[in-house]
Amino acid sequence: MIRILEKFQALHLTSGPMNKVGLYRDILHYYGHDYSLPLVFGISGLLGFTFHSGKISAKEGNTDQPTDLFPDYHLPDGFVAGEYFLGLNNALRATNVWCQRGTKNNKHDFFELLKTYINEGRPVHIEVNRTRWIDKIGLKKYVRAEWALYLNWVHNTVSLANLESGDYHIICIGYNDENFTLSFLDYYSSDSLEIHIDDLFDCTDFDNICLAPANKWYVYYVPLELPDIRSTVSASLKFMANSMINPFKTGSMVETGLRGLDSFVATIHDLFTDREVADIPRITSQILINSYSQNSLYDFNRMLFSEFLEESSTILNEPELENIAYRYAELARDWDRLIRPLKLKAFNQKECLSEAEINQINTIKNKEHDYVYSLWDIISTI
Amino acid sequence: MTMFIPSGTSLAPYKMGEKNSPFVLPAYKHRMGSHCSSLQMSNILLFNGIKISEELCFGIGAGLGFIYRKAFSPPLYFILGRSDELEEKICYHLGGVAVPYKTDNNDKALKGVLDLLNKGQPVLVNIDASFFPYMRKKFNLFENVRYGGHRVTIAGYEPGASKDTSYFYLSDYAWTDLQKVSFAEMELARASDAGQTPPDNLFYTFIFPEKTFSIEEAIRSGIRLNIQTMLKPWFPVFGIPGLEKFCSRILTWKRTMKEELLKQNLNMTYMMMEVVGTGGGNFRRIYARFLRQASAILESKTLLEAFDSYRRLGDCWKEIAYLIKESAEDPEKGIWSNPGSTQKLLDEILFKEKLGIEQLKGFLNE
Repeated sequence: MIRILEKFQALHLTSGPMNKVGLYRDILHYYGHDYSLPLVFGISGLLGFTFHSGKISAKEGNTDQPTDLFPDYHLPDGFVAGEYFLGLNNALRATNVWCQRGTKNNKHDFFELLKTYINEGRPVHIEVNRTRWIDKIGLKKYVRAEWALYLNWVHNTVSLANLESGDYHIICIGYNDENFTLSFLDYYSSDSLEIHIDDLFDCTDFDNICLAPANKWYVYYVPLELPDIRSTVSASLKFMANSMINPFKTGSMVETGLRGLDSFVATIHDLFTDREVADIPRITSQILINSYSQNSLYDFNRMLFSEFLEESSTILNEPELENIAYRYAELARDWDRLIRPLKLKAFNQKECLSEAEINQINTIKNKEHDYVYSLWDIISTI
Repeated sequence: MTMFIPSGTSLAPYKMGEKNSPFVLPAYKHRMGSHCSSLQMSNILLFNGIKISEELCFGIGAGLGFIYRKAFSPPLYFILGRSDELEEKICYHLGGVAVPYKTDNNDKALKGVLDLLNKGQPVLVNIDASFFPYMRKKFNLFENVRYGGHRVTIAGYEPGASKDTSYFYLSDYAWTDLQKVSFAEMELARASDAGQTPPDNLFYTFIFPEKTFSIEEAIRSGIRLNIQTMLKPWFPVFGIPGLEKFCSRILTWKRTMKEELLKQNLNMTYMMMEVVGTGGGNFRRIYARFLRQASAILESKTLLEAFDSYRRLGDCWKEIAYLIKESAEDPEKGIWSNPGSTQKLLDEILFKEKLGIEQLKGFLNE
């Protein structure tokens, strides 16, 4: 039997590296809720900052400290990102959507589970090892030449094993049980992609890589009517600002929010001033890898957040938010101006950080502080 | 002595002695309560330095609800007066996150729990309550019923040579002391194939910011979401739509079920409404207490009026629950002894439930 959720395929929109957000937007559209990509991003509480300061702690002799916030987290030393990797948990709360979830550690059971939900008309969200998936599915042809350059750099410069990572999200919309293939949508491609269950399992069955997929799957039950958008937006803004100003208590070497950012900037500064040259490529690589491929667009998602703020300004009838939106757009350009040259240098295996770039990071840090406090002041009055 | 512990799990933080010795998180305070989820959350929040009563947890977690759902294995109606994912909603409304993790890998499920305990965190897990002798002893429910949604907090453990001789220490809402169960029993209870409500090895990781949202704000968020979940649920057998079905259909059960199945359904309905962790009155009494506490915190007269409505609703639910119990013993009695009067009571419940939601809406509009 062959079954495809054609309605889902028809409404699918690509969103590049923002696969988690694009996927949830498609889910909401499928169930009749026409939310934009920035709106889904914003209400999902995905803007933040995470820094795994492994190296600093190692210096202080705290190497025994746990690093995982929750199962399958596994952030490597020096990992930096513009979010917290809490998945779609906040999105579910903001939209009052119920999620059935689990893992399937047997490929036959996995196939049967996917079939069952597709037969019910429900698409299934799956996490994969992005490096394996991109190789397996031949995805390079769908993406920009720049992506191919990036992949070449990954393969040639850094050990591939160190770069294997999860937090890459695809959605199953069909199956063919005569040849055990499945149909997926990927957020770089408009086309449906076919893959055999054995090959899919080769992309999901990873427990020990960064943000491990560990055969996780999710199915969403979306109500006919979502909560009032004004309340949703204001709650999400408050969550974001609070998490930045009052970091999460992680009990580990993972630091979040503005404190994580400060720690990251201090680390970069130390590396530069201490002339620990060997560490510079490592840190630079992490910035690049995460800013490029981990659900981000060079700018730690500040531009998408800026667009969310613009929409929020209209939804909440709060013109001040538009000013903050403008500032976050500026911040996105600042991050972008910092990271793009680093990328070119790294691709060419040249020196990675200059003093001017270090100073630029300090400026960005100060702006991050100022803008989130300005945002907090505005939303505290709403 | 060789200890049983999954590979990759460290015992280092506990500095275990030469002999096996139990380790219970010293800062975890076991307290008893009315309902498993709300009580466990109150205990876990307290452990994390956030003092919020069980009742406030129930309300902030938008716990008020209704489910009228027919299961197929066993073929029993699942009727429950609360909403879902209370733990995640409480944390979200406080500015934190509850990260749920489900797995069909029992070893990974065990390792996940031990890792959190070793980090010094109590672990909230889902279990099929019918597997634990102490539960079976207290509730004569589990001959026919498997319910995999019971929440307990694991507050410590004692490693031994095997799963049968290693033990967890559980904080369970209706027991004065921590309960001791073996790793083997726990594995069965967590991985049980409990019909429509399997526990799926679920456990939570809780992450809180250094400063949570104010209690006033969290209460408002909980009430706002509860109005939504009651009026616009994600499944049409939940909330007010589910309640409408229940109130119009329960009296037809006698025509559609054989006597033995009918009695089982009625007994289970009574237990789920009145006895098993509901605080009595199908969760309306605990919700009323939430509203009374919230009205004091927010100095709201409207919430105090809503408290009175839900207190009375608790009485109505208690009345119908006892009629259902009578019918479970003799189907000619109880709700069928005077069907007209029963329907009047059911209509009154439905009316008051809708009125209660309107009062909550009124509070938000103040």
